[in-house]
Formats: sequence, structure tokens, C-alpha cells
Amino acid sequence: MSVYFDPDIKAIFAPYVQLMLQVSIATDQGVFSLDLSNYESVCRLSQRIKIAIEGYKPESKTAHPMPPRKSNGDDNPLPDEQIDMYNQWLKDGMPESEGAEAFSGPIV
Amino acid sequence: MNMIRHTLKTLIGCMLLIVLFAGQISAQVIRKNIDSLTAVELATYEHAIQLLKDRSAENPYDLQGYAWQAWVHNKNRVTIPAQNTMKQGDMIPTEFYKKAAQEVYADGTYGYPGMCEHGKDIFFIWHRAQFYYYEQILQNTDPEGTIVDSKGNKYPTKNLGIPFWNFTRKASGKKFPKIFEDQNSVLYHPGRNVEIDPEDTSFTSPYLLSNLLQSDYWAVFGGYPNATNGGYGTFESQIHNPMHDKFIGGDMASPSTAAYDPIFYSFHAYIDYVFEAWMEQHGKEKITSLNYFLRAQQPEQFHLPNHNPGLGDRPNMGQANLYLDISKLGYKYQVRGKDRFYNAAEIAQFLTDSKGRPLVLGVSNESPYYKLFTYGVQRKPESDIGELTQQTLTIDAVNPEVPYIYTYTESQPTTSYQVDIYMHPVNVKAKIKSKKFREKYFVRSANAWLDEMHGDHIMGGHKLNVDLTEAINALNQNFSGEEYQITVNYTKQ
Repeated sequence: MSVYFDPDIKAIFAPYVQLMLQVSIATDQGVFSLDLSNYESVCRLSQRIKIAIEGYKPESKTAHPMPPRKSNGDDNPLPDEQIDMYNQWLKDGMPESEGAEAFSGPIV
Repeated sequence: MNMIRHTLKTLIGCMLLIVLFAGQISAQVIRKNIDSLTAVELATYEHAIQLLKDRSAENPYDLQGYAWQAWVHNKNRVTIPAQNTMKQGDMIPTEFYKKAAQEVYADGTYGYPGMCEHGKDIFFIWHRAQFYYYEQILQNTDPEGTIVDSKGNKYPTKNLGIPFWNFTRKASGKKFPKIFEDQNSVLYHPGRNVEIDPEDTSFTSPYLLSNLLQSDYWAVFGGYPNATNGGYGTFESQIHNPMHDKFIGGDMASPSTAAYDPIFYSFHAYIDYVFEAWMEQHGKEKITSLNYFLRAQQPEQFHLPNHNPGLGDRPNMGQANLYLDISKLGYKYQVRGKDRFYNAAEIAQFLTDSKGRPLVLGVSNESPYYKLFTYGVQRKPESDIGELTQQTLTIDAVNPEVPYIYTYTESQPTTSYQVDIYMHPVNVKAKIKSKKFREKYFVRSANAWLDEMHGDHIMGGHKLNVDLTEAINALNQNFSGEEYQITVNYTKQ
């Protein structure tokens, strides 16, 4: 089954859109906002997002795993199936929707 | 006639040289030890900071005010009103800045002051860029000494350099440089941890710092690449972080408030000097992520001539590689006597026992790292047991190009924490409360400097990477193939 940004990936990230808009991401192309509801923004920062959402895994050395902790302080990793879905979407070339052209911009 | 022409030419030549020389001097200010400033130099620095605070009192959203410049470190996003009506009045300045940072205006637009880079290889260079702008702003507050500040002072600020605090040396005050303890000075800031050890008034050993400077591996010293997992370098986790959260405390204890305290600037000016010293010793070629853009919104008139904003939609200070050469940034350091670092021979001489024999990890009663860490300062590994984590390891040589990184995972990092690491034979029980054990087997201490809301986002868990390559290779000289235990004592700050 194919994975698309809209609706699959967008739905995973929906709870974190407002929070992450406050953060500026420094890269070697410039400093970017991270709008998790925006296709181009997610594609551009797709590798950073991958590192962050896999950060709770024991083998990861990432300093700040994401999503952020729950309000009670507990870890808050995305379920494995959602991480797998995200990785599948990357592998498929990050299609926006069925039949749409693949992302061709820089990945930073 | 010819003689007159010749004399004229010589005179013009001399005048040109004088102009060029004068231009060079004024273009490169001197950053001095704050305890070495003359009374006028110190008053000039206080005047410039007072003017920044006066600006913020009238408009906290002024990019050239004290609040905004603190937010460059502390605050990623603020709402800026179409027309500011907030005035400081009788409020305590820091409380006013905090309030202004939280305000939301219906007619406002977003501003993105900044967010410090920590736990990665652009830690040093990001702060250098922040300080470049800060120094430019200070110099331009009152270049000719014609503006009276709210304390009634005026001094020309055009040649002002940010003074540094050499925190590896005994303080001139009870705990900090005298001027930071003077309640009448604008450099005083309430809330710092003023508890002092009656015998030692410094916290960080100059030997520890000098020894870290010997490391030729940039990632080990300066931090791991931002684009991968990041991770503190040794300077940041072993010296910078505990100075913030353990020694100075108060607003300096948290990344979200640190730059409200004026001591932040002198503390980090010294750190910039350390960065410069590392580059002088090891070169600039090994420094990574120099093409990265440095996030912060700064006054455009102070952008460097070849500033390029890049492709992003957020403001920045340009790429890191703009900030390597301090002569192009308009400053240099004046270091004298105790501000210099120990060289390799001096460190080797220091790392000996009472009979002059070299300290050998696992053999001598005192580990080399214990001596580096504790000698002459109040800093010691924690004797209280927090949470212990252990794992075994067979001692074998480690290629420094592929360092052995121990990763400590903290799932609920609401505040800063520290890990003290010991390496001992598996048949030796970890006795953290025993001074003998700590002295013999202590190999590293690392500190994570955190707060819950830095940059307005609540953190996830935190992972602290500690490089154990040097310790393992030291053990490998005498204990190759033997089973050792890594014992980690975790304590909250």
C-alpha cells in the first residue's frame, strides 16, 4: 500500500504543527521554519525529522528525540508503525499524493 | 624645489601611514581580562550596557536593546506589536524582559531573536557570531561619549571590547570578578549562587582546561556534527555546562534565561578566547559544519560585508565560516600571565605523583583525570550516590578516529544533570562513597545543561554522549584484554 504525505504523513505530525513552528532549524542552505503541515517543509527537512523521531530507540545517540515528552513527563515516541510508515514514504520518494510529482527541491 | 617636493611626499607618506595605523587600531578592539580594565574602561563598559538596558526599558523589542540581545540566546520567537506600549517602569528589568517575551499582540508580527546552539559542533562559532553583533551594538551605543545614560554617565564607547572573565583562576571578588559582586554596578545580577568554599574560590581547574585544549580531534573538543546526532564536545560538557548550572546558578543555570545575567557575556568572551586558542594550536581545517547558517535575528546594519542569508525563511547571522578570523570581526585578545594555558610539557609534569612518577590510570592511587579535575579547585566528583548504571567492557585499543562514545540516556530531563564515570576491574566493587575509589578510578565527568522549555518546546528524552577513548587507551597499556566495568553515577543539579 502506498504512503502519501496527504493524508498519511500529515496526520502523524498534526498534533505537533504549532509547537514546531516556533523552532528555527539551522542547515547548510539557510535557516528554516519547520511546518509539519507543509509538504515542502517536511520534504526539505525530512532527514532531520527521521533522526529526531528515531531518537527514542536505544541504539540512537540523538541528543533530543522527538516528539516531545508527554505533559506527565513520560517518553512520547511515535509508535513503530508510524515510524515505519514515515521511512516507507522516504523510500518511495516522498510523494505528496497519488499521481503527484516527486519532491525535487533540496533536502538539508 | 625638488627638496620641497621630496619633503612633501615624505610628509604625506607619514600621514598616510598614521591614518592607516590608526584605522587598524580602531578597527580591532581589545578584549581584556575584566580585572585588568582601568577605571575608565570599566565605566565605559557599564555605560554601554546601561544604555542597552535603557533602550529595552522603553521598548523591549528594540533589536539593539539588552532584552533582545539576551533573547538572541534565550528565545526563539516573540510577538512584536505594531506599536510598542510596554514600558519597564518600576519593574525589575529581568521580570520585564520575561513578560515582554511572553506577550502576544493581536496586531503583532513574529520576530525570531534566536536560540543558542548547544550540544553540537557549531556551539563555539554560534556564540562568536552572537558576540560579534553584541560588541558592535555596544560600540555604537555612544561612540563619541555624548549620550547620558539613566545613571548620569557618558563615555565614548567606540573602542569598547567585551571584557572576559578567566574563571579558571581565583576570583578577584568573593566568588566572581569584583565588579559582578558590586550591587551598585549594572553588571550585578541577583540570584546567582553565592555559596563559596572557604578554601577555594575557583571551580574549574586551569589544568583540566589546558589538557582539553591538547585534543587534536575537533569533535572531541568542540562537538559532534549538527546534521547527524549532534553531541557535546568535551569543553562544553566538562567545563561550560557545569559552570552555568553548578557554579554560577541563578538565571545562568538555564539556557532560557542565561543571557539576562551580564556575567554571561564575560563568561563566554573567555570561552571565545579558548576557541581561538584551540584554532591557533590545531588549525581551522578540522572544524566541521562551517557552511551552516547561524540562527538569530540581528540588526542588519551590522551584518558582515559578505553576509548571505541563504535560502531559508528565518533570519540568521550568515554562515559559520564568516566568523573564523577575529581580525575581520574587529577584535583581538590581550592575555597576560595567568591567562595563558599550560603546554603539553607542563601538563605532563603536573600529572605525576608525590614522587614525581607519571600517574597511570588503574595503577596509580590517583587517576590522571581526577587530578586534572580537582586540583586546587572546589570541584569534585559527586560522593553521593544518585542512580548507578553499569556495563562491562573488554579493554582493547580504540582508534581515536572512531572514538568510543558512551551514551547516557535520561528519559525525563526536566533540568540539568551530571554523570561521573568510573572504570574499574570487574572484581573491584564500585564504592562511590569511598574517596579512595573515586580518586583511583574516576575517568570522566560530563554535564547536560538543560531546562524544560528552552526555545519554547518541551524536550524529549536526552542523550549525553561521553568520549571514553582516551581512558580506554590509557588502560590498554597495562590491562589489555581484561574485563573492566564502567560505572556511571547520575546526579541531578
